[in-house]
Parts: sequence; structure tokens; C-alpha cells
Amino acid sequence: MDNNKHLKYFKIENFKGLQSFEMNNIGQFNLIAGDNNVGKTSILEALLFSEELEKLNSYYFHAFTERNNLTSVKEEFDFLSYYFNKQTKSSLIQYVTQYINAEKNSFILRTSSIDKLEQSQLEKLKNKLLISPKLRYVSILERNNQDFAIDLMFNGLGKYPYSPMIFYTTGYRNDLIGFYSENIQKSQKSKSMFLNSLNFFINEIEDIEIVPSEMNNVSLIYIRIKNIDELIPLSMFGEGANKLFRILLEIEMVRGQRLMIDEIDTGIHYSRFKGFWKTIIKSAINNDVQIFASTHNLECLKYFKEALEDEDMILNQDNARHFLVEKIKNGETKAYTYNFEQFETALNMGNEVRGGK
Amino acid sequence: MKKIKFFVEGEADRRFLIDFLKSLDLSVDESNFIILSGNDEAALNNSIIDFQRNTDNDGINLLIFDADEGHKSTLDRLESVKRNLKISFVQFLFPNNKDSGTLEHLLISVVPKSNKVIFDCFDSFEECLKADDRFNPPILKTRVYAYVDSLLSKKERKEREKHADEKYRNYLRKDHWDLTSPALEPLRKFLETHLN
Repeated sequence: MDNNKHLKYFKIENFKGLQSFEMNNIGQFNLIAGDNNVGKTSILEALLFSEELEKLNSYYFHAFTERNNLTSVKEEFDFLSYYFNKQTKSSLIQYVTQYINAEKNSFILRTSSIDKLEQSQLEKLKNKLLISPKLRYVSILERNNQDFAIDLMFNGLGKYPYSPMIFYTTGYRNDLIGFYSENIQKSQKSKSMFLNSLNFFINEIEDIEIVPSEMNNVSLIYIRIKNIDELIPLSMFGEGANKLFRILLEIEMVRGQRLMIDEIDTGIHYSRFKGFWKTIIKSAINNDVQIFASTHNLECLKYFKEALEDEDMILNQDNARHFLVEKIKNGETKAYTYNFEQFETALNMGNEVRGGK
Repeated sequence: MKKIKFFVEGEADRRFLIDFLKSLDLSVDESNFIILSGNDEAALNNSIIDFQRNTDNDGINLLIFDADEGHKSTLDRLESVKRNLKISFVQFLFPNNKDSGTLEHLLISVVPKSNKVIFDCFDSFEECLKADDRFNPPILKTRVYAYVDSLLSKKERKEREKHADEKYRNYLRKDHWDLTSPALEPLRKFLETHLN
């Protein structure tokens, strides 16, 4: 792993239920396991952090609406404060990040209503306020205790209509059409690789087509199968195929960066896990993407190990990590990092790797 | 009560300790046993997280190993591993936390008096093999397996693995083992100190 956009250390303070939480020795393929309510999804959301404030706002906005199943948020609503820790009543989040071949950086994210801003801060927002006069909240990101950025908290699609996180509830949706046509369809090479990866779940797949629906003018993704004349909607192929389609697509979209996948095992039959993992790992390598995936499922963990034990995958073992997240006695949430050898030993000896005991 | 985690070298140790604890009315769930992949520093490092997790929750790690390289040298080596890996544990070394030996040494010393004759037969068998350097004398594990096997009923012998194999052996069988033997006193004291 040599991409300098990949995290090797990450710490957050006052983020949702996590008062203080850190991850050490992060790899390129990271599994996160732990008991219910330990904060696995919150950790994935925290990892949406970006040093670009506009992106960070947008990512958290999308994650917020997705997790709460909302289609819109009122403009006078401070949605970022949803991410603040309720116990400490803190009104800011602290981050420490360290990328490969880089020093640690610390950040503070806070929000403010426009009425409480100083004149100099208002000056910075003057042009944006002219365009969006109804917005009432701003987000402020400080880097290493210095003023860094201030931006209107834009409660809408914004410049980045996306967040690099796949929630477990996310199945087939029309957003895939835009993602597909933007990232795959235009390149014959990308399309060929994409079809090849999908073949694992959709046998004899020949092509993917976007076709307007006769019912409601909304386009749908269709699959062309060898020797079958009729196109078949992607949504007909079951949860596993749809999940893999989305994951592979989003890996292409976040090329060089990171993708968070909540409960990656949902909808995947155990007999498919090994191939599923190999497909995802290979795609992540091709696109230089760092993966963070949560799971409860012991079989999913075992097949992750088995996938990496295959001869063609052994070289990737050094980049695999397993994080067991637990609340320890003093109330702190702690991540224990297993390197591949430790993870392999624990599974082979039948020792606990999912926490909760 | 503080949570106790047992770190052992293999399935055989776990099997024996679970039964011995039962005989002392100290019931411990199997999940509290961590089986290590060996007894060297690398093996302990592979399970370092299990040590850390229990320590973080104010639990006590009990490491129960063989003193097969000598009691003092095993102890010294474990102290050095403890320092290097920055982990904490309290150790008991088979057979009695004082002498050199293994779990099998302890087992052989706790067979009921009436069965000791079986091991006398092994002695002459071993002497016989030693006389010819083409043959290997049986290891202690083999002796213990054959000891249990020799006591099984015809019916039990049809599934002898389930009875004689160290992974499944029933140490609560009074016709096979005397768990009240004085040879078990050091282990009993060690366990009761930490579990009561």
C-alpha cells in the first residue's frame, strides 16, 4: 500500500456515541467487527472525513439523510450537530489523521449559526450568502489549531451529490444509473473489467444497458445474458448481485481514496463469500481504493481469511487488517488491530474475533 | 468477580482444565480459554489482543504451560516474553509449578492406584524397544492414550477416539482418574486463588 491518500492512523473525539476512538496500523482492506451498538456504523461515518470542507459537508449530509431515511432537510437545520457526541454535549468534533508517508494532522469541526459569526468570517461567505440567503448555519474546519475553512452548511445535493459509504439498507436504486454512465460506460476497458467481475454473480453476463422504462419515464439498468434475447432488469438478480454491482461501481467512483461499506455480508450467501471477497479485493487493488467494511458474520470473516490464503492473493495479506471494536471497562470504545497472521491464528484456533464475550 | 482468561498450549490442556475445574465446583465456560498456536513468543504475539482485551477490562490472564524445557528456564523465558510483548499474566507450569514436566507427567501421577499397573507394563514395553536402536520409545502422550484405551469397554472401543483422544477425554471418570490426588494440590491452590 503506497497511496498517500490512504489512512494509516485515524482518531476521533466527540463523534456520535464515540467520546474518543482511534484506529492504529490501518491497512488497505479493513474489516470492522464488534457487538451491537458498539458504534461500527458511526466509525464508518466518521471515516467520511475529508480535509475539503465542502466535500465533508456533502458527505455527512448524504450519510445523514441516508441513515435517517430522509429525502430532504430544512435549510435552517444544523444537520452536522447530529454527529456531535450527546453525552459530552460537545459542540465540536476532533479528528487526527495520518496518511501513508505523511505526518499526523489534527482537525476541529464545529458549526455556528450565521448570527454568531464575526464580521471577518461573514466576509468570507459574502458571495455564497448572496446565492443562498436562506441558509442559516455554517461549518468551520480548523487544521492544527489554525483557521482553515468556513462554509455554508448546504442542506442539499451540493457539488458532491454522493458519499463514499454504502449503508446496509441500500439496495438497487436509480443513483446507480448516473454512477454507471459516468464511471464505467464511457470506457470500453472499464466496462470489460466490470462485466468480468460481475460474472461471478451473474453468469454469462454480456452487457449492461440503460433503458427508459415504459411505465414512468425513469431509466433502469438492464442486463444482457448470453443466448437470452430479452434484457433482464438488474433488480431481478437478487440482493447479492445488486450489492456487488453497487460495491464495484463505487470502488471505481472513489478511485485512489476510501470506501466504507456497512454490514458487507448482508444479502450474500455463505457459499459465495470467498469469491465475493476476491472480486472486491481485486477491484480495490486495481482502483487503489482503501476499504473499510463492517460485519457481524463469522463466515464472512472466515472467507475473508480464506480468500487471502489463495495463492493469487497471498501478497495482499500484508495489507489486510481486522479491527475488533469493544467498549472496555472505563466506558472507552477501543479498536484492537489484528494483522493478518494474528487474525488467521485466532480463526484457526477458534478464538473469538467478533467481541461481545 | 474479575474475568479470568486461560491461555493454554492446546485442546488437551483445555479439556483437562475444564474437567478439573468442574471437579472443584468451579465452572468455567469454554470461551474463556484461548488456545495458543504454540508456546514461543511468536505464538503469544499472535494472541496478544486476547491478553490486552482481558487486561483492559481488569481481568486476570492465567497462562498454563508445560515446563518441558525445565521449570526455571521456562519461567525465565516467559518472563522475557511478558516484558517484550508488554502483556500481563500469571503462570502455572505443569506438572506442579515446581518441577520440570508436562501435562502428561501430571496425568500419569493422578491415575487411581489400582490402575498403576498399566504403566508398569509400559515400562517393560519401553525397555524392550530401547534395546533395539531401530525403534522409538513411546512418547508420554502415547502412553496416556493407550492407558485410557486399555480401560475402555467393548462398546466404548467402537468409538475409541471419542473416549481416548485428548480432545474428548473425560477426566471426571473416577475409574480412570483420581482428581483428588495430592499431585493436583498445587494446581488446585493456583486455580482457587484466582477463581474464588
